[in-house]
Amino acid sequence: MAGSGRGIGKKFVTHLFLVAFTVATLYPVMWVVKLSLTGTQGFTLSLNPIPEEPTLDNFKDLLTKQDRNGKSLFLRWTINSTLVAGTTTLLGVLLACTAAYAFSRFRFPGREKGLMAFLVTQMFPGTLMMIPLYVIMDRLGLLNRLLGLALVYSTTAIPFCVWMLKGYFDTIPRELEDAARIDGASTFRIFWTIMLPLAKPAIAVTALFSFMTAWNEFILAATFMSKEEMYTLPVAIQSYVSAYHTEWGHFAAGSILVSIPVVVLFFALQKNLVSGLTAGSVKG
Amino acid sequence: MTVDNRSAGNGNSSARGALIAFFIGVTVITAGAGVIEKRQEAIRAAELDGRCFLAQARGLARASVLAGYDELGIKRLSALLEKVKKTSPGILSINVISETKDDPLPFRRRERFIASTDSSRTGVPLDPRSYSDKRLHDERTKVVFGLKRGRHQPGPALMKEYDEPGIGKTIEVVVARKDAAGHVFTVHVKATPVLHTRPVPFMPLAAAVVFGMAIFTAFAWAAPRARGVSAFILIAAVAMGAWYAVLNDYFASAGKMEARASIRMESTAQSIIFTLPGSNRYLQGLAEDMSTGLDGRLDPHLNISPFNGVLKVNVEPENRREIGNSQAVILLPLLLLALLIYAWGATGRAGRAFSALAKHSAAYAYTAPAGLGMLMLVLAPFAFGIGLSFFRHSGGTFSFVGITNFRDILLSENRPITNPLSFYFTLLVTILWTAANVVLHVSIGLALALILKSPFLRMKAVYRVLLILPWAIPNYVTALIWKGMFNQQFGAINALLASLGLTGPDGVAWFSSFATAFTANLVTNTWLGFPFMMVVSLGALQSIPSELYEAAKVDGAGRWRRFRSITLPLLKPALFPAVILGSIWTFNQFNIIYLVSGGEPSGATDILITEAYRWAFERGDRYGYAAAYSSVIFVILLAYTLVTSRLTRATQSSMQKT
Repeated sequence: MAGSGRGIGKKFVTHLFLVAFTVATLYPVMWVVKLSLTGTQGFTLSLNPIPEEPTLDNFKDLLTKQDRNGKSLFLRWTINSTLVAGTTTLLGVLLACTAAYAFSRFRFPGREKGLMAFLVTQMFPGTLMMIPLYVIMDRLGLLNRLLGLALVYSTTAIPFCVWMLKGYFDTIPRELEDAARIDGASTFRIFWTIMLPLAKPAIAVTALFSFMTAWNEFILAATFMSKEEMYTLPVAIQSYVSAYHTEWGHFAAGSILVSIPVVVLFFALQKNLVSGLTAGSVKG
Repeated sequence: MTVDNRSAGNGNSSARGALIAFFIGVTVITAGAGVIEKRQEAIRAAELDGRCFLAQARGLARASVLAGYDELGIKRLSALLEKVKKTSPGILSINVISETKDDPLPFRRRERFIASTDSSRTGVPLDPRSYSDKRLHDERTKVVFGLKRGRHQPGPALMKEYDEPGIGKTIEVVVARKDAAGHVFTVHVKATPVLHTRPVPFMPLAAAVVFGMAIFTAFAWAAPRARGVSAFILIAAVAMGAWYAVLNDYFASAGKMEARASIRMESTAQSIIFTLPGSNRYLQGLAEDMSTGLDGRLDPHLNISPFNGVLKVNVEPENRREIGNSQAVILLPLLLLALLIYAWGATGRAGRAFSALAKHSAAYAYTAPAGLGMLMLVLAPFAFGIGLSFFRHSGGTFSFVGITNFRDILLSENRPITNPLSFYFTLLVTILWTAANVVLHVSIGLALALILKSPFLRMKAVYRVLLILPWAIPNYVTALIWKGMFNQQFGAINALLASLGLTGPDGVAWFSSFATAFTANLVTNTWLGFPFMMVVSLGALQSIPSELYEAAKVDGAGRWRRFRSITLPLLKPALFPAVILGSIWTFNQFNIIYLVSGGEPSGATDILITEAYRWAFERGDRYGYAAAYSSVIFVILLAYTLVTSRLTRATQSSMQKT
């Protein structure tokens, strides 16, 4: 808006504000970094977010933690988390894409109600679901199993993803499909070869959200996974700051290791984030 | 069949639908009866096995060590301690003894306090309201560390099951413990189950439902237009059947189990729990407290022998286990389901649904996988949870209590509105919490988006990337870190305030007053939530054509004018869903409240969702009450969404007109 010379002062103020705000935003993150690089397990931290005597001990402790059989626990937890998050992403995207496509392109009885039902599920309080879910998982023999966790996560991620994807599909012009239909393409072919490639940004965001739901979730994982070797990363990290003992250094190091994949994904997909997330909602 | 008869007359097809639905309904009921019969057998077998009883015996053993299971226990305990201090001035110290409850459900595993306080704090009452009472927490930590260093030994509970001649299956539980001084004390529980079972009267109720359906079907067939009358008859028949079943107290007395138990507590030292000169008056109080402390679970007649190193408490409880009720949990939803299916078919909706299914098979095929998953893992637990809200949970048994839970919540059990445990207090806090958060998220997010969308701004990609970082970090990590930052001694916030000269060297005790604790929560959640709104606003702003601004500029509209008349109205449709979703998320934001302030001070900053969690898992396993609490939360959110979505639709349609 301020392209002319008159705007230089204003530009400076804008940048000053943005830098100040960004520093304020990043301050807690820097703090976590400092905690992780400080050798002690205490919380004695000053205002200065730069570590005084950086050491990688906390990371080393975490990565070399072993169970009774001498296997690396951290590796095990990482594999668990990766498997759960990967399965959740695959399942979530697959289910959300097909459902969103139907909601966007077909007019069928129950469409409005179905969409509404998806929205309503967002209001279910988690505490109400925990005990019944536990019972159901127990009956299905899915307790302490990664598949069970992945199933629960993908269903919790679905409503938001469906709404987002449906909105995005709505913005894709119908003419493309009509042309393909005249050429004799089946519904599935249209869905697979036309709609999905066109909706890439939204699918990327859907995948990111499914992944994040699974990767960051803590309470359900702590409820369903009672064996230490079946923990996911959040549960494992949380156990460093339990009621009895707090190892802030290990906690911070773990938090950083957990956050890295999500942050990387976020940055890789952040362009899509803006378009994928809002293209739909603009149209309603 | 119905699909083929699509062309048939409306009344005729609905009668046919009613008939089909009738058969489906009867099948469901029959199948249900089979399931229940089987389950009943299993329960009976298990009970005769004594396994059900084992849990009770264990419960007795724990209770006998002066139960402090829940906050009620602690409350009574603290009242008792006060009394003891007054009557026995020679009191030396009172030790904390804690035990860990092992449970397959991790969130139910926890320590229990058996007694608490220490001599240096004589005269300071414990705060019984909060499980996380700081002092109790410290005591507990001390004990846990003691246990770890081997100073206390949580002795394993030994259990023995045998047939006692003439009495039957008997269970003996011995819990042994060692206190700090090395004195071992033991608790013996001997219990014999006496079982009376009567089959659940499933048949009368089922018969009433089937009868009602039959009449309805007949009516639908004979007079298709008089649906109202026949529906009335159906409902009346079912209601009468249910009334009959409930009135006769069938559910409550269907199965009854009595336990005869005796509890004996021995110690090698004079100090069992309390180190004090032997005082029979005190023991009398202890016994009284035990009898009130165990209400609902035991109906004890206590006999106490003089205190000389052995405390003997003989309990003759009549502990009923209501078997029938656990089946009502299955039975009622089943009957409801049968009725729903029936109503669905009888009103002709099933027929229409079947033909729709055939006509739009592709659409349903695409939605089915997601729908099925949601049904199994979201809707089924939800329905189960709603059902749970009509039951009361106590010691592993659920009993049907109707709407008592809801009544208790809405009347707040006669607590004044200023009490943090009052529902209305929590509701007000929740509304304040949600409103403050949404306003902050939207205004900060929108302001940043407006700055960042400027085409001449350099490095905006860098800013954008850095500013969405809080979103990417798991929120439990965020919450714990912020809790640390708000720490009075070591936290960065107090250090910052002190370096700016705003506060003294002591700093602000953030979690000791409502306003500051609430602010701490708010700051944390704002940090967490503004990136989402920023991204949504950025996307929405990009979609506004720049020609509009150009035209407005030509017309001489100022910056504020352009924002008011172009940006805001065009942003509204995109922001509305985000605001609704954001407010729902904030309303149910469990992690931040639970981890940052933890409800401090004294539960004042708890919101509805954390309150529900505490009722379920921290205040005596009141699952039914918590479920009712959660149902109320759901209804509030639903009402909110219905109102706002009507608003959205109104604005959207007005948008389309312009």
